[in-house]
Amino acid sequence: MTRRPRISLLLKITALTSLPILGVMVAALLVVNRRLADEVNHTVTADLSRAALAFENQMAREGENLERIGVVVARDPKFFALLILPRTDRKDADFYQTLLGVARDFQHDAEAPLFDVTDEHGIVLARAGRADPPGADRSGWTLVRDAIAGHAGRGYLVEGDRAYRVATVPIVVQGELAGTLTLGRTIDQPLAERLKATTRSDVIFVVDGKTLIRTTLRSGLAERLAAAPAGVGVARVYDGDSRFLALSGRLDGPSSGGSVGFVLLRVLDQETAVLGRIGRDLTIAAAALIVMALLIGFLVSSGITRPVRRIVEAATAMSEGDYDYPLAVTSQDEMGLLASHFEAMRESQRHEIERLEEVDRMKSNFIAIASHEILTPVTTIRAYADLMGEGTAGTVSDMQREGFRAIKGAADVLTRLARDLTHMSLIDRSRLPVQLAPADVGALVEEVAVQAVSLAADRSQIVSIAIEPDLTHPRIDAGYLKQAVTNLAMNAVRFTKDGGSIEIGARRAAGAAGIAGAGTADESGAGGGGVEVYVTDTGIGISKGDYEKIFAKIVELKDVNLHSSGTTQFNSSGLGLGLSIARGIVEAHGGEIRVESEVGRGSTFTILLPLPPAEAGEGGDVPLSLAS
Amino acid sequence: MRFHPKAGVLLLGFLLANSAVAGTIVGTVTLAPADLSFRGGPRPNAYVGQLSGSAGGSGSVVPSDTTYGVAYLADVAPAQDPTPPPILLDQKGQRFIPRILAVVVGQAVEFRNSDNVFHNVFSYSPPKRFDLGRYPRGKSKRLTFQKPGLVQVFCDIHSDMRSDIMVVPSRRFGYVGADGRFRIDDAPAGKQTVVLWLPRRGERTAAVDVSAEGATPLVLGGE
Repeated sequence: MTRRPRISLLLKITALTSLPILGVMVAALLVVNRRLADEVNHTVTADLSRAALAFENQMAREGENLERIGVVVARDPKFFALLILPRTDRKDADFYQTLLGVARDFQHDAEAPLFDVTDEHGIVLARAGRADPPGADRSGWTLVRDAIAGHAGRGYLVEGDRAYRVATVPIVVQGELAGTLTLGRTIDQPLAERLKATTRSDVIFVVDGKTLIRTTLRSGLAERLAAAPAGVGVARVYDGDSRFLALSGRLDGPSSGGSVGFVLLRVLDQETAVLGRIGRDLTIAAAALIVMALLIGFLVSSGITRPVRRIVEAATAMSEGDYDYPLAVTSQDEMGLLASHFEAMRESQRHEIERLEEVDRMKSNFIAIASHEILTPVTTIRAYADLMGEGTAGTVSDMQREGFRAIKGAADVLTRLARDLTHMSLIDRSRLPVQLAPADVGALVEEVAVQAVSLAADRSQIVSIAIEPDLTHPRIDAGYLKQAVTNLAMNAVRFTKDGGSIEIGARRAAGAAGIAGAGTADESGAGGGGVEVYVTDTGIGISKGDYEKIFAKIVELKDVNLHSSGTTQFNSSGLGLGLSIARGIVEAHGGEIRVESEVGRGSTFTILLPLPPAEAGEGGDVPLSLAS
Repeated sequence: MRFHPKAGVLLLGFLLANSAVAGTIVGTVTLAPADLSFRGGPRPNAYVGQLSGSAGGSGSVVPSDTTYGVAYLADVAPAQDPTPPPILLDQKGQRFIPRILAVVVGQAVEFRNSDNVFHNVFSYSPPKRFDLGRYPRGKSKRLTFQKPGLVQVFCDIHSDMRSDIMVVPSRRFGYVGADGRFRIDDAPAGKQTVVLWLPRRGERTAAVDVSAEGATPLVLGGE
């Protein structure tokens, strides 16, 4: 297991290379965006001013048109002939009737809803389109007064709830003023709509602070704008829904009956939609640039870090025992130097390791040979001690018999020690000579258990045995496996206080998935099923940090006497190799040993013997017991 | 048609005895420059020179281009007089010729178009309201005027065209010339009322005692 760097060098260099580019880009984006916003703002305002100009122009044109029509009408003999009749001829109602008829004719052609004819003093003679009787004095109106003075003029007229765009012209016949003619067209919805089309803005006509005509549906807003103090100006308004740009102004020309103004209204959101679109485009461009910047950063940094990564990987491989991981660093720079130094260090390390391994091997060989060689004389000692103890070689006193028994016991211990050492050295060199054949694991465990019962009885420990039937395993070396189980059982007895309880059992493994887990071995046994042998005690327990340590060789030697009641009676080996040997044996079977323990409460050791892959694969739902 | 309030009427009439039945009134109108213009300005009559063959003599009964008004006798029964033959009001050079025409009640006027363009003669004046419609060159339309009074004639197409037809009760009338003089022949002897009409001044009247013999002079102030 190698440690991975928390922040990789690649990431760091990528960030360092990309960040300046990103920063510059973001700054540029912000500046451009800001400029754009300013520009759009400026443009919108300018555009609205232009619209206002267009609006005023169009209104002026309307007035000019009216005036032009008025001039043409005033020059028409059919129109003015009546007005220059001698005063004596004007008295009768017939005159007014005729004049009204004529005026209506002309009004129709002029398409002017307002068509007022006055005499040269400003007294109304006829109002076409209105039922008003003649006689009203209009000389007070600026436009009529101007017309009497001989000047045509344009302006506005408010009458009741109507407003008109009007033009007044003098009627001059052969040098003499005969009267005035006022033409007017209603400021109405169609006009507003036309102006809306021209100015691309909503149009509100305002008369004396009240909305007269509006194209916008927002009546509240229109009233608010209408009520605002008149005067030309652009203002931003918000009606809780949208933002608007409003330009208010006054219509030129004299106005009678009330003052006429206007407001042009634009939805700002609509105007700034362009900005939004450009912003989106810029964002997309920015995203592309960011990807590019990151890519560049990545390429640059990977160029730098590749040799480093190779060396790191080589170091990782080395820690796992592989001294041949190719470095493939050919650059001539500091990296190349580092790589060649690393290579040299790796070589010297490799030689050192090989030397140590050789020493270890020699040690193991020595132990194997030595322990084996010990067995021969010890066997002789034991055999004679046995013979002599039984009195075969002559009568022995009780004292002597006791001595021979002690000699035999010591010889037994020596034998076991030597055998353990032999096993250990074999396990070290993976040369344990297991001979795998079908065998009943249950029977084997039972033998061990029975043996344990007799040992435990001396210490008032309760041993329970739980062995499922038919636990035949196809590949077992019964002798070795029995030793492994024995080692576990002896440990349990040894490390459990007097009066404690021990359970020894064997059962089918609880399915494939159940096997994986807490063990140290990576392999969790191939295939499903298999056999579990377990030994549970209520002993002193092992702390989690020591799980791995207890399987190590020799390490427990110094602690031997601390674990139990202090006697060596139950110490089968005395070298603390029991667990190591058990593990070696189980691993030689392709299985594993697990431990679960709690300090002060006890431990459970489990030997897991999976089925070999072939059997498991074929087995399917066939019961584990293959003996049948 | 305004009378100046201060304008007094100067009347100096005396009668010349004539053949017991009728006499001649020879009048003089004192004309101001404004009276010489139809447009109220100092410009002289634009019609001068339009009528061929008219010498512009004073007191003519034939309209001429220097006619500035009409003087006629009011209150004369026209019954015994034969109606004069139709008289021509020509449309030529986009003008009515003559500009001022006196017509006796019952007399007809021939409205002839001598121009290459259409004209449309009409009038809204109470004594005779008519509209002859448009008609081309060479064509003429005739109207009889039965009611006395001023009939202002216009062309619907040409706004500058204008003529004043003065329908008078009898043939006892005379045109006022450029020199302000007029003559009414065949005026019955005795007390008569002379009506003077000037386009920009309207009408005014003067009483005159016509003598049967010779000319009875009469002076009328234009102002």
